[in-house]
Amino acid sequence: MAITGRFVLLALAGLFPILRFPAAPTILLWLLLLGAVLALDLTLAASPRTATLRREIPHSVRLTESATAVLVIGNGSRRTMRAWVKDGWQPSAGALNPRQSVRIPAGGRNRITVRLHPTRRGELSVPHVTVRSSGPLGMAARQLTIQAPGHLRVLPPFHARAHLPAKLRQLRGLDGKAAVQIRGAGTEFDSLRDYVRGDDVRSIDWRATARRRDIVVRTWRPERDRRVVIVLDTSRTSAARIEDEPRLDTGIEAALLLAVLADRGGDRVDFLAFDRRLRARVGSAAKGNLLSALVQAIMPLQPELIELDWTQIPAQVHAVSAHRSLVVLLTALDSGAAEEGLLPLVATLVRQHIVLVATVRDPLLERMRADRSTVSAIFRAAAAERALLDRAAVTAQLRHLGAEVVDAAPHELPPQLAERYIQLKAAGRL
Amino acid sequence: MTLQRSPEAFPGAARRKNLPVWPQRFREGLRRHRFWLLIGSAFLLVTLGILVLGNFGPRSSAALAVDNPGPNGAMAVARVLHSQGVTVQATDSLDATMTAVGSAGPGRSTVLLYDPGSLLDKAGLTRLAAAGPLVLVQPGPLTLRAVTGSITAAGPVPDSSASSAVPAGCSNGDAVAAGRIDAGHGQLYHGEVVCFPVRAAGAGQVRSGLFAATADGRATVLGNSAILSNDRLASSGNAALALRTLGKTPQLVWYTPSLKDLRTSAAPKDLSQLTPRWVLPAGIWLLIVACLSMLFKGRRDGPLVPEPLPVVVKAAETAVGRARLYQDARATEHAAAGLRAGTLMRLAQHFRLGAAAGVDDVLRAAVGHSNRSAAELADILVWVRPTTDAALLRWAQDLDILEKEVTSR
Repeated sequence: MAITGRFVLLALAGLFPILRFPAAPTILLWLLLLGAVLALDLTLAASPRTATLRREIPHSVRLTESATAVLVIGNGSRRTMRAWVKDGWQPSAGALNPRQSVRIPAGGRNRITVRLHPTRRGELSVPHVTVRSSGPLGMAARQLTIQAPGHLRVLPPFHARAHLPAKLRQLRGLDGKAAVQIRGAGTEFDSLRDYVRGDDVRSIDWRATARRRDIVVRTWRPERDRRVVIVLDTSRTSAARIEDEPRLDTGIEAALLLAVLADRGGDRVDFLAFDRRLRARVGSAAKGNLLSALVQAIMPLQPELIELDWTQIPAQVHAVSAHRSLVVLLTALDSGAAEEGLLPLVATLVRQHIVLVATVRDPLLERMRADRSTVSAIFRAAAAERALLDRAAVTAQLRHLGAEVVDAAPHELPPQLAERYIQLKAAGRL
Repeated sequence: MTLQRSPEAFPGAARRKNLPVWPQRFREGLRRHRFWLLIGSAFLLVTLGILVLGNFGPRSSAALAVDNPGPNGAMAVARVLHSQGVTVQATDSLDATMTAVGSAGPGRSTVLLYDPGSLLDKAGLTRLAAAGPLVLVQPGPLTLRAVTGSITAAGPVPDSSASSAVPAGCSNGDAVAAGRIDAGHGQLYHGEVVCFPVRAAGAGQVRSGLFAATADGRATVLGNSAILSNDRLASSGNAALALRTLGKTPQLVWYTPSLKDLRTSAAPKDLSQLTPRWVLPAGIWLLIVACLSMLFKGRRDGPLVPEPLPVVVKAAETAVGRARLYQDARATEHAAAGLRAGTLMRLAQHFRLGAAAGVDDVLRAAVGHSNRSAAELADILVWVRPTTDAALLRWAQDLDILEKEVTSR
């Protein structure tokens, strides 16, 4: 049950008769009047127990985009239902108008449209709907909360797709041209064509030229159908926030850009999210669009407060790809004991694969290092310096083992990782 | 955009199967609010218990009240009289006293008057005097004059004899039976019969004592109220005097005047008479409206929806924590070593000296890029080992300036 503002105003109006006849019976009479109005309105209100609900929620929406969820309310009673309906979305769904007034004829139905602007990735839920059905006088209402669960999948935003066209152009540029200059075991012979000015004379195919009257050059294309395995670390270090973004989200952006790029580049992409067990796994061998499969798989990922189990990763990678692959580890370098975890893992992986370690650098450490204003700042600078030195040492060791390292600020990481992939491809190292 | 359509939900249908809707919902409510219901009823029980125990039986704390069991009460004497067949009736107004006396019949009741505040006025006292035998306990002079002309007050018991027991010193039967009574801080009286004189009367002096009575016995004065009290009743002959004096008739009316005996016509006007009539009803009504508007505004539209919050930690927290550890441990040398190593590494990278470059290589390369002498550079980069915070601050700033100087050229 609920009363309305109109009922309070009616009660307030009782002040006039009480001022005119100031006595206890006046108060009692007005109270009786209020009670009668309340009882009448409640009796005449359509029962919210007869309401039926149906939801129409979009299957998924990208973070930073808005969605509309429709709620269809049926009125099973024989009276017109005048109701305030509240759709109980969780706060991060960003419902702009969850509370709406609706009028449903007897036995009919009506719909309300709730605009959502989600502020967090993941599966957002709406457990119930509250219907407050008021009487014809608008004085009192019957209220009921009805369990009507619904879900909206909010996909990662993929801001890094802004870099995609430029990187794809770069990748296409590799076709024929770039590989000409770098002759390596990794390039594949593509075709023969007529020489035009500007072509490298070393690429002239003399035998073919001898058979024809024109000078013919060989063209190469970068190798295709190579394998890229992206391993995303979802352990406790991924919960660290760097520049207003958790390390996990930066890793997701980088993984999405690289996966799409490699997929367009003709390579086979596999994605793993791992901490102590497999959290998500997507392969481009699966049917359908790789990107949509990826974002669906990545959507529910959250940092887990447990340590990464490094020893299992080689087996996981092997399960995905038994051949030589580019293994991209999206992880943290400052996880304390790199000697025990990351370094032995990389040492194992480089025997069979090309290993690329991508990690987010914290620009705050650089700022802390440069601040020499007070004694406390000096100690902070020293600690930051120590952290940076540790990172540098681990990076050097990784390079020494033969792994590639991309270490960049949050917004720089996705394009730099893509850049490094293109370089590796151009160099024919895949 | 693909839509997911939920199946139609019929919240009413599921409930209709279970027939008793109201009892079920009531039971549900009971179960949900069990904790607060229990707490509330326990609180209520305790409060009620304290109230009941506190007021168990008629109790009073007034002096010489028949239901006061304390040292200054008179419950003992009333109980003894009661067990001897005397009906003791306590009254607190003149009208009640007159009614009690009248209902017992003429000559069948004695009235005890104990009025330390002199609340009873002259007219009341005159009415009382006509009612029957009167026992006055430590009365004031005005009271005496109104009740009987023959007994007058003779001042308080001198302090020197306050703690002594006074012998009867007269031929009155009650006094002789009692023998001695406490003098205490009582009053002395003289009249037709005087007993328990505090000091022997000299020639020409009027006899005065703690007990006085008229010749016809219609008025008796007890000069010391303490002899009736629970505390002193058992000492000396107090009890004998008290019981004999008060137990002569089948009924004893124990009259202690109260505020009911005061004339109330002269009371000043109170606030309710000065304010307009509508103020109180309007105030009450506004209170009701306020409560209603609280109900209106406070009604929540549905339960709260929980938000699962992920764990997010600031990444630089570890470095900041380490810095605090350095500072708390005063590890200036350790901090300096970190700063030095960082600067040397960056300088080595700047001069492209390679990973294997030593300190000397960096120094040699730096000399060409700075105005400072080689010794000064070596001092800052290698030799200075700050041990205090102030020295560390100065050195760290020097190091920073040096680094910027060298790398900018």
